[in-house]
Amino acid sequence: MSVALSASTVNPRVNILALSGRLSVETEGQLLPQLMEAIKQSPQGLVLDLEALAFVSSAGLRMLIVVYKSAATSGTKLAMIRPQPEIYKLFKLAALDLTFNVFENEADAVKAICP
Amino acid sequence: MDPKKSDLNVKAAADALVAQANEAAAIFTQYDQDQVDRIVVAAAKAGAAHRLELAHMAIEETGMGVFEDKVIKNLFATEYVCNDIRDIKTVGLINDCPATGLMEYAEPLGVVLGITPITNPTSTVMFKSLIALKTRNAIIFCASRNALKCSNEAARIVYEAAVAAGAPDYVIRWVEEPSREMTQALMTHPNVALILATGGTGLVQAAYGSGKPAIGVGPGNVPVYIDKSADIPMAVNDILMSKTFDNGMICASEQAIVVHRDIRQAVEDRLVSQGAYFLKPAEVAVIQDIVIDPTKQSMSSKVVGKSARYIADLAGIKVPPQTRLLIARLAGVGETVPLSREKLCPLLGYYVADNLDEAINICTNLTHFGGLGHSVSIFSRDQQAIDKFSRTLNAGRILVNSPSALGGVGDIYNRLHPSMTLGCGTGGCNITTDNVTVPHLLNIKRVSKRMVNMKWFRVPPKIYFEPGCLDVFFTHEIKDLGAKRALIVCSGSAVREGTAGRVAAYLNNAGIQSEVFADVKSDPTVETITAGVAVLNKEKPDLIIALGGGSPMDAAKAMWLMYEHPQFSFDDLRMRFMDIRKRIVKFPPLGQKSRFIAIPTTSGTGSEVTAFTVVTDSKTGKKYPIADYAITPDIAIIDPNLVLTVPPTVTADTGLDVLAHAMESYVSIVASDYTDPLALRAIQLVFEYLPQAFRDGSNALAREKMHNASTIAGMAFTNAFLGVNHCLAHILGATFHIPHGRANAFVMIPVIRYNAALPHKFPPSPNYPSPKAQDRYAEIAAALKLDASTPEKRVENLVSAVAELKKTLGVPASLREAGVPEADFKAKLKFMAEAAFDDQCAGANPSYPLVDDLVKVLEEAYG
Repeated sequence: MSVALSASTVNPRVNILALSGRLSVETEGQLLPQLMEAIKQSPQGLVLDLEALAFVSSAGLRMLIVVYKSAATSGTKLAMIRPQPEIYKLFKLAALDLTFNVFENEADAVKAICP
Repeated sequence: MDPKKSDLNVKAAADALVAQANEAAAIFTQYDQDQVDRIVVAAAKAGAAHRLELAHMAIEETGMGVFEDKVIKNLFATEYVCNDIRDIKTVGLINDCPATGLMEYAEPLGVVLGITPITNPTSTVMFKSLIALKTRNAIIFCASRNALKCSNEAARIVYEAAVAAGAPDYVIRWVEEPSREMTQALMTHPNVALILATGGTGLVQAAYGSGKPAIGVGPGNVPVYIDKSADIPMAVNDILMSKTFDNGMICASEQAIVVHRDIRQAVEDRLVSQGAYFLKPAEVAVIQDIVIDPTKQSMSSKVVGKSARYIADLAGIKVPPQTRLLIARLAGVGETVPLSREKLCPLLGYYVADNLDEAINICTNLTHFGGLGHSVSIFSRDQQAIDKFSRTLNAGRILVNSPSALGGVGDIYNRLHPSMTLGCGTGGCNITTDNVTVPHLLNIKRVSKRMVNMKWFRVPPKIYFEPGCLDVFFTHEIKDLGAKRALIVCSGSAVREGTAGRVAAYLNNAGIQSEVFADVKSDPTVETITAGVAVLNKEKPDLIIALGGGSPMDAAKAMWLMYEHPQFSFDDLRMRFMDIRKRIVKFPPLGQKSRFIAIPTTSGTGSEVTAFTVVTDSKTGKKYPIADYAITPDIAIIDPNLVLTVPPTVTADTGLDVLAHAMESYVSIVASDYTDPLALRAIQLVFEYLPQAFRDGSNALAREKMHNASTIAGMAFTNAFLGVNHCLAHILGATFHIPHGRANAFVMIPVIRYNAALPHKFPPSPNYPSPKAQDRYAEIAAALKLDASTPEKRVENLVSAVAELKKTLGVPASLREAGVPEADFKAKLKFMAEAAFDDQCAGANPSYPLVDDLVKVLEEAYG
């Protein structure tokens, strides 16, 4: 599981964090601090790019929920883009698709969280 | 994250459990088959490894059953179930059948609510866990209150092993503090996908009544019939083993023995020698009061899963020390015979039957008394007895020569699927009679690819042509048929002109006796055909020769059908169909009694090569096209010498019928490479030679070409069918007494324009992916060398060519010009349009005809 942080080409004040690999019990430990750090560095908004995310474990899912809650309290808006269909499906089954603020592309996500 | 149940109210507790399970189910959807299968094996291993301690816990907590048997059940629920489900595909693409174009994908259900019983607590939990894990479902267990600890421990053991093998967190949950409110909250929870209820009737009914999809079980009142052909030692052994297994707690275990009178003594002696005790009449009464709770009208919890000796002691009855089973002789079944109920303990009812039929009736009574659809058992070596038994009784499981408890759960004594949840079908108010297992916990998604229908090309096996072929055939080839008696079916004119006589003479020379049936007028009716069949039955020919225009040939074909298969009615023959291969009434092949030779004397209906005949209902005047390839003639003789004297108007009318046949079969939605060349050729021949044949009937070449064109068009349309041109011609002809070919001609141009335009309603056919009639008419125009720059212009050129042809043949340009009164026409318009819509020929038209469309076409034809 690796992450890469960059500025959005649509609006440089918003950051994009691309996740790739499997969010499973082994990797969940390292991801949480990385996510929290990325949020700290993105007061205007952070978009999680899930295109290369292959799998989400139970703990991984709960971690994402915790991250969203924490971002809400600190005032940073979050969004997700380009989830693999299998993963979008599991968000839907877990009734998290609205919570996670999912969009199909960077432009729509950025506009939504930093108008 | 475990909910603190002491702090939350029941609904919140249910919500918390379901939320966890739901999350697990969502995560589980990502897993592949390998991951799932590893989890199942790990879970089964853990369950099997703890079989002894779980069995101990169950005995201690419930006070019911036999330790050793509970161990066996734990092993069965893990080892046998794991083995049975090991190779089943449950993830992704699970079935692919290129021949049918169907693919099946597996979709999990979501969260399953598993209700488990007190009788088989740990084994049911482990069984349901395995099948849920295998199908990527999460499961929440709601165990029986009096088996809570052992059930939840089984769940925990399996759960931890599953998660260690990679299963999602919370994939198995269990209720720690059961209550009716909790069960209700879970059963009705929006995020529970299915209830899998193994328990008592009340609970199962609550499950079905909750509004949630449910799979439940029913009660059993299993009779075991020992037939006079039975292997008695085996039967007694099996019954004793089965009924004492876990002290009789499996719902599939025997509840009553029904024995054939002839062997009763042998059976009773054997039973007693193996440890059964027959209660004396006074003892039966005492036992009855102990075992059956009189207020609840069901077995008392005091005896469920208790041993025979324990029950005897409770009743104060002295039994021999080795007694393991109590037997009560009973007469009758029902509320007045309380021991005829289900008794989940080692106590059996006992009936003697005089014969197989009486035995089956007793079993019917028993199953109807609280056990319908569950299981029945028979010991017999008489296949007919087994068949009658199985055919009659309503039971999901019919065990033959096996113990019913160990047989009913499956896989130990037979090839039923191992299961702890035995469906009883509607007899037990369940949705299935299956041994419930993996397939019941999947949503199957079926991918269905577009599949085109098979088409065919069916014509008579022998078609002879060229001028004079009639003479050649009836001099030489006729002998090869081996016929002895012939009936010539023709119209009066064939007799008068001598053709019938000529054929009869040839037949005579060939040693074939013949008779003539010339009673066929135009538009054969049911009455004509009935009279003809009577002649066939009297003369019993092995050869039918139809000689003439459409009417004698159509009549002869219908007569042939009714002669060979008198069981068909007129109604059967004229049933409308959508797909000739899938029709309701199937015509068997003809030819058992007679072969059929068709000799057309007009050019023509094409009937000599088609699967059709048209019969008129004389009461209503309606024409019924009857279609089946069985009535295709065996031999067709296309001799143009027979049409040299056809009068001009008949030549014109029959020739225009040929044109309609050919054009309709070309634009038909089932036109094919096989029929197209025939249709196009026939159209070319008509345009070139019909005017010549009309002008000069003695033009032998023109007659030959038209005669061939008629047959060729017949070969095309018998396979590609017709369209609205003929639908309209049928009703127009019947209503205003217009000759058939002429009626086709009147609507031909409006039909071409209608078909060539964009359809108002697309005809549904997998073989016809998009409208192409305009292009098809353009191809006809090109074949007639009526070139133009666009398809629309080509179509208009074709229309002009048809108009020109009609004029040449002296056919009026419109119905108005033909003298059909306007008021009459308007009055019949709607009726005709509806009749045309309902005509069998409508189905292959390139525009599916709406009644309003047909009204407009008719109006245009009227002019």
